[in-house]
Amino acid sequence: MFRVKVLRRYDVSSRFKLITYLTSFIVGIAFFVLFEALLGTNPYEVVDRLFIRPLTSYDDFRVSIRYTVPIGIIASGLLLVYRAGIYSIGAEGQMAVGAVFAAWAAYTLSLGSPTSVLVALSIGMLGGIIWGLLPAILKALLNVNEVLTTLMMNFIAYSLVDYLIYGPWRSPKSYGFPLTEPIPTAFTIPTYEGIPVINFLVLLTVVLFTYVVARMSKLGFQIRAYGLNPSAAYASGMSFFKVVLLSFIISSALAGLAGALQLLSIHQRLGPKSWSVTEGLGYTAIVAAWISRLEPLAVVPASLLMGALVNGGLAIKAVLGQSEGVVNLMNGMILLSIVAAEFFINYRLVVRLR
Amino acid sequence: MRYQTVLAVVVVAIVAVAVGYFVGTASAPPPKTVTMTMTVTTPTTITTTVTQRVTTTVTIPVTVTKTPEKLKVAFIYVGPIGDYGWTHAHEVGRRYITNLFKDYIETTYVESVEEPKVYDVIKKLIGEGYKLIFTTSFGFMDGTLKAAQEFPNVIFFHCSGYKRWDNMGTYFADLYQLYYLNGLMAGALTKSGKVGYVAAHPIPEVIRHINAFALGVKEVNPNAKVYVRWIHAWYDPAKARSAAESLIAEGVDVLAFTEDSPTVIEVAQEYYKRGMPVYAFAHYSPMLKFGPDVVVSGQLVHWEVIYADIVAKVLTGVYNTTNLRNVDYWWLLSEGAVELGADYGVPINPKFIPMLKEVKVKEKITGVEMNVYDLVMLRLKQMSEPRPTFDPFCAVKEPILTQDGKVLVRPGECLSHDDLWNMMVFVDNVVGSIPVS
Repeated sequence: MFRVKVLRRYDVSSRFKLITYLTSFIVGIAFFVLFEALLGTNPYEVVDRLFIRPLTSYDDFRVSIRYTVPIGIIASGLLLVYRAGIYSIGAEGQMAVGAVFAAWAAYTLSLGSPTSVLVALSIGMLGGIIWGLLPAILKALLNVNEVLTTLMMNFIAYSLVDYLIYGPWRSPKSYGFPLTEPIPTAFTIPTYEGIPVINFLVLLTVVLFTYVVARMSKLGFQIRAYGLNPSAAYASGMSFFKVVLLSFIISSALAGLAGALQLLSIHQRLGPKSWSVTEGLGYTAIVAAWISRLEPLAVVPASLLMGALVNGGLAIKAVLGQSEGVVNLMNGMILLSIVAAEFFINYRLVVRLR
Repeated sequence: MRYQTVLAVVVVAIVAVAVGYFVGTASAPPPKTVTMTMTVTTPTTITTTVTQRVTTTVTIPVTVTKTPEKLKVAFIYVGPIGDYGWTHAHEVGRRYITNLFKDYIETTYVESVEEPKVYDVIKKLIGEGYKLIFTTSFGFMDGTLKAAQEFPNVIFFHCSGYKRWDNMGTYFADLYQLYYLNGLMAGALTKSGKVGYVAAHPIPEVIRHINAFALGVKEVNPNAKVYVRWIHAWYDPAKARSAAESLIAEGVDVLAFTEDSPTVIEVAQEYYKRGMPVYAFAHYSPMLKFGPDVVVSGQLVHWEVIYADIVAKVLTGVYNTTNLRNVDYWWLLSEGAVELGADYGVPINPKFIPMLKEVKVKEKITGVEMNVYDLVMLRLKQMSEPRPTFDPFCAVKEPILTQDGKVLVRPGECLSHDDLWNMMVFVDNVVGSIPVS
């Protein structure tokens, strides 16, 4: 009979990691394409619509990029907390609150462009921080499980948006539908032929910033130390409180920034659903962060890929006429193949004939 | 190393497929078989009558030579086609016109489109050559308008919104007359004088329906009250159940609702089985089978009537990319866009007809005494006429009052289309509040 042993790998080369990742990703896609072939869809067309066109055709790329930017900005922040071994899933809520704060700034302050935009973005970041601070403090002081608290905060954020769009912010001109007024033009961020160029430049700046923080700063080192071995990090005198708080603040500020950017450039109003301004991208960004293997520079290709897949998912439904279930299946397959790759990077299976 | 890599790939693949399969099957909507029959009063020949409500009727005879290329028509839905309400009803309409105009059009649909993504989906459809696009959710309004302005050669129709463009019209089939008729029956059937309403979201459409229902109740039973519970969801069976149960606990014995599942009816049926009769009115879909002992009547919609009219007019050139700015369908009973009942062709569950015939009321316009069954049939007939001779939101001899005693409609006057669209107050026999600032 067979005997299977799971052995830990040590000293894994980055080349091996890269190869394993790419292969598992391709295998995930390959199985999805196979599944589509069984459904009777032309496999070439599936691959083409799913990510060749979203990345190469100018018309499609314009759509992909509007999903890429928020995913990338949020993933950049998330990788810092993930590096510290903190599993925050609260970016969605922080993004929503960031949008709410930016909207508040746009409705109440009268400023000229471009000060207006900078102020609204800063206030949006502040909103994100406020939303991230509660789970951060609970984690830092009482070691409360951050997965639960951040998830709950997301639902509270949705309820906050619902309260505003059904209540005090509901536009008097919307026939009672849950929409806010469009934000004043001084606060809008222009796009070029539908491409949020400014947002993309913000993404690149954020990526450089997180690269510096994660790779070159003392904080980045402490974050990594806590992620690898909390006891050793604590014993060597690093402040757990400081690491948790700072990494949380940066990540939630970036999520708030993403929400504010989406509001000012793409949506320009809140409603009609609580998640209309976030579109669930705060969750998609978690996947992007893990695809990047928590490497700041790798966030750019990872978020391009995820943005393309969101866009490609729409094409699968709209052009190939397939159901929502098929798109979910594709996302599940790709995500799982990447999770499985993580296993094969850290462990190997030894099969022996007895 | 190479051997291990290969092995790794194989195992990853197996895990990915196995788990992917389960994720896929778990997330795919459960298949539903829905059988239905219907009658539609739209001409199958493409000679069309342009009927504009309230204004004039123009008949334009058009002969159509079969176009060499079929018109490509797309529908964008907010939910899955297997839901038990909104999206399914539109899908029924799409299938109907696909068959009706099969020599002239081909259709497709995109389901479960999140509101902010509608513009991106429209662009993809236009890239595939679709020339007539229906977007069927209020939240699609801004995205549809943006696309209409960007693609002047494509015709758009948006359901339930209020923004139009040269190439973008709007349409809606409203149920308020049916809720009023349901209210008449509810008023006759309640013994406790308490009628319940499980309500989705506090928007004018739902408020209008609650008010129409309450006006019906009041006409038959001036002392009865309508108790409202908000669930803040279009589809949430769990919340609908707890709202219905808490209303029953308050003494309510008749229920109406706005929610896309038959949950409220199932609750009523359970109470009935336990010997506690609670009656209910179906919403949007034929739900009689979920509560044959308790469902009195309900509201049904026929989107296919509107779709057939629009497609016929687009095919014949009555509608083009420049003249839709004032095209707003607001279709009701008289156009055949909605139907009274909990199943097609069954306006009132036969079980309840004798009970309704026992209750006598004075008809408020003529003062003639009649039973509630006859009253319902009279009102149904009056509202189904080409020019309706009755409307629940017209005050006859007494004014219609709001909850705080203000006059909403003076005697002899009616609410306009805009008043109905902006309605944000309850009439005086409703108990409950509208959650707004």
